[in-house]
Amino acid sequence: MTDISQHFHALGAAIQFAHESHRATGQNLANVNTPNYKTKELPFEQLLNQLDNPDSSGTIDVSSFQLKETPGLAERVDGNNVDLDREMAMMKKNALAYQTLTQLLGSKMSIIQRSISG
Amino acid sequence: MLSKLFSTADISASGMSAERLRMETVANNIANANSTRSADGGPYRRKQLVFSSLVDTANASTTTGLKGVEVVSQQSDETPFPEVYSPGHPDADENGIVRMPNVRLPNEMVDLITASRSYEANLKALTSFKEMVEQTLSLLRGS
Repeated sequence: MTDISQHFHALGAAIQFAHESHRATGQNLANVNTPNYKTKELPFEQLLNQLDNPDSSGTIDVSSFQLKETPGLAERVDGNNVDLDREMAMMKKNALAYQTLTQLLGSKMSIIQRSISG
Repeated sequence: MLSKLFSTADISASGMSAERLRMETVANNIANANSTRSADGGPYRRKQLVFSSLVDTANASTTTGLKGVEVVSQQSDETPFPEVYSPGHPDADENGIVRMPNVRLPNEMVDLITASRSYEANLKALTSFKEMVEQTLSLLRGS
């Protein structure tokens, strides 16, 4: 029983992570013309760490994950380092991951439904 | 609750409204490229917008604190006005010099294109978010 709920848990956390990553990318795109703005991202390692070492409550709060400034990006003269093409690619990759995860969750749900209804 | 659930859309919307405002400013600059009179006397001065990233200070280091972008102020370009010799002009001084607005068309066109492209990027982020929400909602419909 715990096995099933754990699967849902991990998938749910991963979906929430994809959502929060989209927020970060959205913020980067909104600030593509803001002087001195630095590109931000949500490191995936935090999610992996939380999944490997769950805390006592067993819940994963993705919204409390720490944002990180993306290193190694070329800075423009106005101090802004948002790369529009990079952000668009990140957004597309993230949206695909989100789609994959929701479909996984959906198929998992339908398997359970089938096993209940027989 | 609902506003928090879809607040990701607000980030993209703030970017779109900021870029649209920039396009309006550029359009106003181009429209006044030859205005030798303005409300503050003298020729028209080129206007520029100042953007600032909007972050909720209470939780600035997490994604919850991200709030998009805001337009802080509209500032005038203080570079000197170009002077044109045109003795017949109604606004010419005693030496026949007319001071023209400091609007340079190539700069404005470049600004217009970057604003337009940034607007598209924000729109794409919004569309992408909408698709993500629709995918999640399709889970509720069942399969």
